[in-house]
Amino acid sequence: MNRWMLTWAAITAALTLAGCVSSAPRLTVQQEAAIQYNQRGEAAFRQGDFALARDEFQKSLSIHRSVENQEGVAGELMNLSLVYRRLGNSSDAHGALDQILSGPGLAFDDKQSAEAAYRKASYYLDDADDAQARVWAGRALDFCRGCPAEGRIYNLQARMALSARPAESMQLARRALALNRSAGNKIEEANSHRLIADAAFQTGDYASAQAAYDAALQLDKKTGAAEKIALDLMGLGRVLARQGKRKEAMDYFQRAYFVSEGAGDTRAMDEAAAEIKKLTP
Amino acid sequence: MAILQNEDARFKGLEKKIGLFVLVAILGIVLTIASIGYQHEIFSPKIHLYFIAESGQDINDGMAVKLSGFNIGKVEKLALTDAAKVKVTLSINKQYMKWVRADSNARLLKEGVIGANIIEISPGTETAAALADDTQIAFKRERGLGQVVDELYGEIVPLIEDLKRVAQRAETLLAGLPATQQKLDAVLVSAKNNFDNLEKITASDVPATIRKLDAAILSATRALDNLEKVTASDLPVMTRRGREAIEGAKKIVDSVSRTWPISGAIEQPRSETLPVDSYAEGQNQKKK
Repeated sequence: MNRWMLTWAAITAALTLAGCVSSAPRLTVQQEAAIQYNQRGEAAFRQGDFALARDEFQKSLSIHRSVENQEGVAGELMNLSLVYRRLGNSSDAHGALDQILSGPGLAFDDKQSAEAAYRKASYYLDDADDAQARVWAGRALDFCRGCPAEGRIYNLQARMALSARPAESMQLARRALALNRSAGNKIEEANSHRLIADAAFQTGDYASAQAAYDAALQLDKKTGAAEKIALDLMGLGRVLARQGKRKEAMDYFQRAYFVSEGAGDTRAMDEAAAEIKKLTP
Repeated sequence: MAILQNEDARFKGLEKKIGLFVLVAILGIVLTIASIGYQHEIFSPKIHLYFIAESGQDINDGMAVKLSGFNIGKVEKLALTDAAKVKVTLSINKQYMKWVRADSNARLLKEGVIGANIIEISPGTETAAALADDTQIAFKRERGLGQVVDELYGEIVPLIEDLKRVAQRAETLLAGLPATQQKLDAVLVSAKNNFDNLEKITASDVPATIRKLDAAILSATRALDNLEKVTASDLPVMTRRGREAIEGAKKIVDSVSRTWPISGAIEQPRSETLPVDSYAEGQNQKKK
């Protein structure tokens, strides 16, 4: 009796498990090839070989287009846009994004359009074209409506307002902080803290600025972003220097110098050295 | 007087005799002068040509004028012009004018190294126009020996200076030559010793090494022959089976990796989109 019961229990368990077994969707040959080209392109980009990255992303884009993979096409156009930007070809960079925003053929969804508009705004801001940057950041928000890029877009808007309207910048950065924290995006959350700190520094609220830089530093250390760590340390140094705490400020600037030296960022090293020189009697 | 003439027979016809004597003497003098004049071509018809020179230096009255080394006239006159230049008039025998043409020119040169200065007329071409009396011809002053020497001096002095410098350098170089030679001798002796040693070594060890190498090559050749036989028959089959095995294994791994609960632990490969940071000032631009 016991043996029969055990047998039936084993069969029942096996059937139950078999029912639970499910297969993950199998990738097509084209998808596999496109992913391989994408990964090669990304590796080339990280190594600074932008020409190779462009070639690889273009191959991946061709495959995605051949099977009308809308998500893949959008992703590769965004990648190509960034690669063109690094290659110094700004018009092609915008052109790639324009294919998502207004190009013929595939219709891209609002999330992808928001991302493309956000990137255009970022490029215009870097090119000091504030008017176009504001226009495209606004369009990005219009497309977004709760998309994952919303926190980044507010951060970008906070950055735009920082020098002329620090109070508005602070508000935007706080909104961005909440969104980024909710989305679990640590890098952008740290950016929000840093923007809050920058705005507080502009308005002379050094205590808030110090606290926000410190929060940004903690997050940046977790993500391992050396460049951002150096920025946080420089911010802390400047806040302390403005309060007359020369020794503590000097310590932060020296830490920033060493971090930048380790990352091989000579421009940041020069900035830290200049601050140290200012404090040296 | 008339009484004496009438009385002495020696005085008879004396006037006629004296007149004849004077006439012969005068005739002789005239013939002599004519002969000298003929010899000096005083009676030859002349053509006058002239040229303008910057200076009358080395040009004198009576200086010979020659054509192809043959005397054809002389310098007749030198005169200073209003422009402070010198007009030299040449007197040339007309019979030689057939060679002096409009394209002829006069040169002042010296006959030989220490000879007299002369005016040399170059022969003109037959087709050129004949020259009329008192016509100007071109003139060129040849460089004299002094000028040539001056020019040579100007060129030779720097050459001599260079030679002096070269000699000084050569002297410096040669001063170090004995030491270099000593070092070379030492190197050559050392090289000779090395070669001697090498010769000894090769005489003793190389034949044995070559024998071993021969054996090794022979062995390697046999091994390659065997490998060739094996690969010719078995390798394609092995490769095909290996590929099949790998493909089979891949299918199994793919199937297993898509099966619960393993699929949850294996991340599916996917395309990545490069992020654009909201704070990276200028980082999206091309790095310069």
